[in-house]
Amino acid sequence: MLKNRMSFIEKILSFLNLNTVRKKLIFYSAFMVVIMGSFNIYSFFYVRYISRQYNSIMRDLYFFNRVSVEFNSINDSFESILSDILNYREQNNLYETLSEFEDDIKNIEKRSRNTDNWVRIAGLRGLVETYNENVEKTLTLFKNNENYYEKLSYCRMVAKFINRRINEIVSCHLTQSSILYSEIEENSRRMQVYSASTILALFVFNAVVIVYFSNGISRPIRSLAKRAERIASGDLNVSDVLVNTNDEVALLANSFNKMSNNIRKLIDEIVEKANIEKKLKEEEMKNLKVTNMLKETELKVLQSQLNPHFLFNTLNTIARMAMLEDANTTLNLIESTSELLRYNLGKIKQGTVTLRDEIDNVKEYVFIQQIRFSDRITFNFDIDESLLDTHVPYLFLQPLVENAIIHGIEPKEGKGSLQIKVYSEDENVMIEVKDDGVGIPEEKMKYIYDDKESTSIGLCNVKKRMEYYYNDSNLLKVWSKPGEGTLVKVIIPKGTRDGEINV
Amino acid sequence: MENQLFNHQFICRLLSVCANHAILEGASKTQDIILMVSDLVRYIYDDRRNIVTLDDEIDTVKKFLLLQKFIGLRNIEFSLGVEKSYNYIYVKHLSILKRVVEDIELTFENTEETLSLRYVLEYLNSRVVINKFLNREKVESIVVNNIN
Repeated sequence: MLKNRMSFIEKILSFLNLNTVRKKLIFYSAFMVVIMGSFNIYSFFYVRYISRQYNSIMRDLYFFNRVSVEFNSINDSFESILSDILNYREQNNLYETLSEFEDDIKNIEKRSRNTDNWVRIAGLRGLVETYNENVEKTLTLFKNNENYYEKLSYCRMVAKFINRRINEIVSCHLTQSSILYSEIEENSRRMQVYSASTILALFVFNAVVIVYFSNGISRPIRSLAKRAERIASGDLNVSDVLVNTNDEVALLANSFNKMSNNIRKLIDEIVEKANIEKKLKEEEMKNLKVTNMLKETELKVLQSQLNPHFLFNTLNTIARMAMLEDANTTLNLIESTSELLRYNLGKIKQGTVTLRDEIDNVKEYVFIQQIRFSDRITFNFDIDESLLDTHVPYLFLQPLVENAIIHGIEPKEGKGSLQIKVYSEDENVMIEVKDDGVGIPEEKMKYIYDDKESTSIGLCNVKKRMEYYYNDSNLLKVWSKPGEGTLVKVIIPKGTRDGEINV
Repeated sequence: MENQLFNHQFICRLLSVCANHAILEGASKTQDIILMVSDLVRYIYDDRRNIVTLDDEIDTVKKFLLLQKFIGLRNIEFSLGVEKSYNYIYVKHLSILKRVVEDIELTFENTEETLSLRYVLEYLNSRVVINKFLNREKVESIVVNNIN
């Protein structure tokens, strides 16, 4: 209902083209001035009307009172002349006064023609004329020393009638005035009620309009402030501010809605852009990786072109040449090198091999090292043959043996020994590579798994691959004592088959 | 991780053992070739080399071409026309060797006739230009940027 009224008011405001707060305030002020002014003007004229009526009553009463006093004065003057109290000159004044008195009565007779007193006033005028006429005759008789008593007594009788008639007129006028006064009083009371009602109505209207206008301004502004606060705190999911008016507040609300929507869009765009940029960066990283992979692949292609064909062909040719030059040991070394190279390159993609493959490869390597070091190094294999079919990560053993020779035994003065032991313990296959070389200094033990510190594939690579294959980081352990040697122990969980480990 | 498994240093060490025994057994030619292979493997598989001098790259190409002749591609004649030292010019690792390997594969693999392949290197406007001649006819000019 209130909304309907509001929309009705809005329709009126829209019809009047009151589309700004300033125009609305000016219109409202002007409206109130007109209403209050009209009310005041009406009150003013009404009060004046009542005042005039009241004055009219009072004026007539005053007039008839004055008429009574004046007539009595005239009558006294008349009596005084007859008693020789006044001289003859005064007689002329009496005539003038009587004449003026008669004129006054005539005037009031004309004025009272439409009143109830008119008949009485007309009678009064007749009595006054009679009185004047007889006064004049009485004074003429008195002047001529004739008998004037009859006329005097007639004048006195007329004077009594005149006084009685004046009292009647005043009494009648008072009666009429009391009725009129009651009407005036009634109208005045009604006027008070109308005034109070009008003031109350205006007060209520004013209150409604003030509440409506203040709500129309403050509510959207409060709503705007709340939303602005939420936006400032980072919450951009604010609903639009709804304003039914079409003034500056609506303009402000619409601008705010546009601004918040734009901010939301902007943030969305920024987030989207950031996501796109992130994706692009990821894409770039991928591309970079792909590019690096391609470059690496490119290099690997070249390398692989050299590996299988070129290197093996070259080694075969070298072997033939060694044979031609009667260098049989060199021939055997070249053949072993070729086998090692073949094992190194040939099974890279395979991932796992059997322990037998690893042991055979190490034996090939040991053969070369035995030729190289002659009797300086003693190699000892202690292998449990039943465990050789165990699947193990490819090329995990050769780096351990190579490390033992290069970093353990080779720097040692004098002879050395290297033991490779394969045995079963609990549910695991244990592989030990033990040397009696120089050992690993304590400070180097900290970096033993750091591939940057290692000169070969190193323990780090083997450890990482063991961890990757078996999801266990404790499968490679190293014990070393400077001057006494090093023991590397590899633990292969028993029962693992090719399909059961991460390839 | 698997890529790390091919340890060229390991191969080089083995080749070094072979070369030492070739000397002990008086097989000097075998030793020369083994050392050449070892050098080539060390150069090619050394991932730390991103930029090399032009001289190093040319030396490697020469060794590669000599080994190619050694392993039996005798119907091929090639030469490298380099007139002076290019120690101050740096090129990308394997940038020239890669082209030579590709050329040999494309040109000689499926032919029985004797072909002459010649490379002449020039240094023009901070760029290395490899002019390729097949049977004395210029067939291609390859530009290798000088990374200085």
